[in-house]
Amino acid sequence: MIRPVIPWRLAWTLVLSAIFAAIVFVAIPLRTDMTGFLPRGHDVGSRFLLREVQSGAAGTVIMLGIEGAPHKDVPEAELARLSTGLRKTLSGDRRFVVVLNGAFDPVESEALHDVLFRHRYQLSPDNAARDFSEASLKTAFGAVLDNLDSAAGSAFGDTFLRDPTNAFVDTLHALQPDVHVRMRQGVWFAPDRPGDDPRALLLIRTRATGMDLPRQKDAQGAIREAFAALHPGSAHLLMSGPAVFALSSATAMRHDVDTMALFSTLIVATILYWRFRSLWVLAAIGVPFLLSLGVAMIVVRLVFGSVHGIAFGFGMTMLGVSLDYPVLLIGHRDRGEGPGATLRRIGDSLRIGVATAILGLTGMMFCGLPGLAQLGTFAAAGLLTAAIVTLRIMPGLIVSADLAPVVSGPSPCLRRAETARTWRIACLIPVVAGLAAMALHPLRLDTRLAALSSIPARRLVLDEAFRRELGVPDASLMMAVSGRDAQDVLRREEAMLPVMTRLAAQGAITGAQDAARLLPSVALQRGRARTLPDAATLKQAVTTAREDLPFRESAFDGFVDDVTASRQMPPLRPEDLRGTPLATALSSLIFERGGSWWGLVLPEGVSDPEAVAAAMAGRPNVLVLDLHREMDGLSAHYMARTLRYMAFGCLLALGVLAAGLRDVRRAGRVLGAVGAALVTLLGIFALLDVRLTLVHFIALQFVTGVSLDYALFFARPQLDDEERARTMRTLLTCNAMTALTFGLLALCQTVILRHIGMTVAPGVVLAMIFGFLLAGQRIGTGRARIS
Amino acid sequence: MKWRVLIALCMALHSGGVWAADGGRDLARAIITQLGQVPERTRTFHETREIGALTHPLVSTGILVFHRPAYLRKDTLAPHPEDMIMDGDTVSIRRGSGAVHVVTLSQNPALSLLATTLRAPLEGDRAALERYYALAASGDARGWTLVMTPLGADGARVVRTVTLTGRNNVIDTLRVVQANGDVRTLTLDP
Repeated sequence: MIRPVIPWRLAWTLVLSAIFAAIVFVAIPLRTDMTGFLPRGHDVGSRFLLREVQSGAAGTVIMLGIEGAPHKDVPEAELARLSTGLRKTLSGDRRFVVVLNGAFDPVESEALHDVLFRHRYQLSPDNAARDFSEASLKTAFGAVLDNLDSAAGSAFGDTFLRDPTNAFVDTLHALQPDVHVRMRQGVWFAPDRPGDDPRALLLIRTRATGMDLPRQKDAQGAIREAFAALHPGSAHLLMSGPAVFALSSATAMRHDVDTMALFSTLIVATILYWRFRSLWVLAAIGVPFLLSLGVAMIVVRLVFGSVHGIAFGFGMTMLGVSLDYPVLLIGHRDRGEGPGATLRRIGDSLRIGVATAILGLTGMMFCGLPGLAQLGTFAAAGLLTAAIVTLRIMPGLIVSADLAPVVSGPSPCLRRAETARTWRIACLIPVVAGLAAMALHPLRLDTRLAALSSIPARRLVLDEAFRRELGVPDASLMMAVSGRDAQDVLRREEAMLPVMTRLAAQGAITGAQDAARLLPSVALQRGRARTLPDAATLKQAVTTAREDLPFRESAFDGFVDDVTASRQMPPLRPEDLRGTPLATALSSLIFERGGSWWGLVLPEGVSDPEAVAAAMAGRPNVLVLDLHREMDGLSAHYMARTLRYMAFGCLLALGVLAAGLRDVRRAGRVLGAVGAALVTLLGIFALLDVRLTLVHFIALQFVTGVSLDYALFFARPQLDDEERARTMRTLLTCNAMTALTFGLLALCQTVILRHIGMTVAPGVVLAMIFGFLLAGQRIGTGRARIS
Repeated sequence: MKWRVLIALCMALHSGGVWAADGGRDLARAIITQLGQVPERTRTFHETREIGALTHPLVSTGILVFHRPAYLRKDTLAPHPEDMIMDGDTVSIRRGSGAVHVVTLSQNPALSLLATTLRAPLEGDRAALERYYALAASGDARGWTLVMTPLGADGARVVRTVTLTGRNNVIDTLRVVQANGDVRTLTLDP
């Protein structure tokens, strides 16, 4: 097989194609975050909110659980030790804003402690803390005496005396997340766990935004390292949160894409080498491969602004299909044939095949989901480029290098196989079985966008449990309040409070987080200060209240001084908290964007989103975003849109077929083969109870395109034995490439890629079988025409 | 060499006893070592708390239980029932029939100091005490007084002095003067 002359033209073309592809790869980076894949919202408001959700505070939450590995009991004390150790390590780490595990914490920052203590009578949300009537003071003083009497209380005696109505405790309480946990060993534990399998809980906020995947990787790595450094033994760490999901999806996708790129190339190269036994054939096929990949990247970049990893991974898989064209060309050539001769035999079928395959991608290209549209565009651009290269550049290259299959001509084996067409009526059996399966087990649709998410259901369940226990809103329903300045926004949020309280009373929500809860507006603080009594009045009340109690006259002087000072104290503003942990929490809930101020209100434990939306209706300056509804609404919308474009693409393909074949019987055979393949595939899906998503439909349309391609080649008229053998061998090669590369896709962790692989791989195998049996002519009639 | 021994001897005689040498530190160490030899104790206590803000002291009685390692229970019986258990790194307090409050000592410096003050003498843990306090003692084995003064500013913010009196390996009183001047005195029945 060693050729004495090196085909320089082919070699140079390959090198140039490789350089082109390399430049494209360096210049266009791949995106791996799922947000690039999802819809961006239907209007300006929801787009704004979606962006804030993804880049704002909600995205920085990481929830941790520490529990025994499966079937390993780890005692509570050990879990508490790990929780405490983790908090100790991480709270000193600049990468984390807060690390909470429920440990009694007299406000970590001393500066913040002092500020909050000084402003307690303006900040405390509970008016009881400002009730200085004689009766309430009497009760409060009694409680102070009891606290002083307590063994632990004596250490905090001065604080009790200065703050008899617990205004400071109330202020601190308002800053704490609304957790639903059990305190064990001084730290948070999950409430509904069996006693022998406890789980300690921690709540962390990262400094990096949830979208900043490299820094998230770093921060999440730091958490794992800190945990490992504590020698956890058989205890293990659970992590959840949007950034954790984003990172694991991106990592899995990167892995998928790399694996696909490597193994697709290996599979295709192996099959081609096995078929042609020539590295120069591989080189020749490398030209359309590299060019189509490069062009597809450029087209997607120009149309969408970026290239997503999933689109690239799918594009690599499309190798198996787009390389059909050069393979068909080389496979049908006889050694010594001129450039035009092969094309004259297969050119028409090839052009119709390309047209139908590209029309098979319309559903994907126009579905409206940015990610899937990229996939379709990538594949279509790749197919078209491969076809053009095959028709324009390849013939010259092949002839100059004199490439042709080694094994050619009729074989008894193939002839025997072809006699099977005599009984092709038997094809009705799988078709009828498929229809019966669909009738007995009707196919079920899944229009939820979540069905396309790669996050396993058990991790979503865990995430939901963490959120419930740690009082973290899932940001699926949120409101944004706009205003002239920060104070305006805070006042509007305070005005919404009665509505939120009513909703909580109705059970629609369990609570809500917003900036006003952390820091009341200046107006509200002033209002509270105005209700405080003057020194003389308060002194009188104190004197009366302590009458029957063993307090000295001067015991509450500090308290009286503090209340009096609070009457005149300038209220606390967001800017006064700069540099404290509270400022970080505030900045994610209230911020300036484009000249106006925005505050986010995040309801917790939402059970009735409609009630919340209805309560907010008619309020100016309040935007409501219901993420689930938005997404599922979009998803149904996309499904309808995809089906419409699919129908349109199928009609066009029919038109192409009619115009290209100009023969009703042949068209009937081709459509029969394609229809039989699709019905059988759907029957298998029905039997396996596969829930069909948008992606399945798109993949089915793609299978249709490829099936048409095969059927068209089988259905070419007036073929002699040699040509039929060439077609059979070449299509088998193409089919093996497609089935194996898409079969590989079915092993991916990324759900979208997996769905495509699981549909296309069996689909093309069926298309090959039915195309061979139904679209090809019976040998008897074929012979009669030739002779 | 001889001179030094002679001077040391003279100084020892002058200050009134070998145990009181070096500001009583050796006596302090001896007392703590002796206390630590009792693996468990159960005693009735009477506590008096003189609080600046109050016109008269708060008085209470109950039972104090100690056993190794690091377990101390203070059950106040009258006038208001309250249980406080220090066990290892946690302190749990339950007042009346209310909820149990649990605090982890490593997270709370003030309580941690209190726990060391109460438990370390009973454990004979001199190293722990010397981490927080300068120790001084007077008297002899039959009747001693141990005075502990905080070394660092953190300790001084909570406690001014702690004074223990006793005989041999028995503690008779514990008197804590807090930083704000409040005084608590615990008297243990023999």
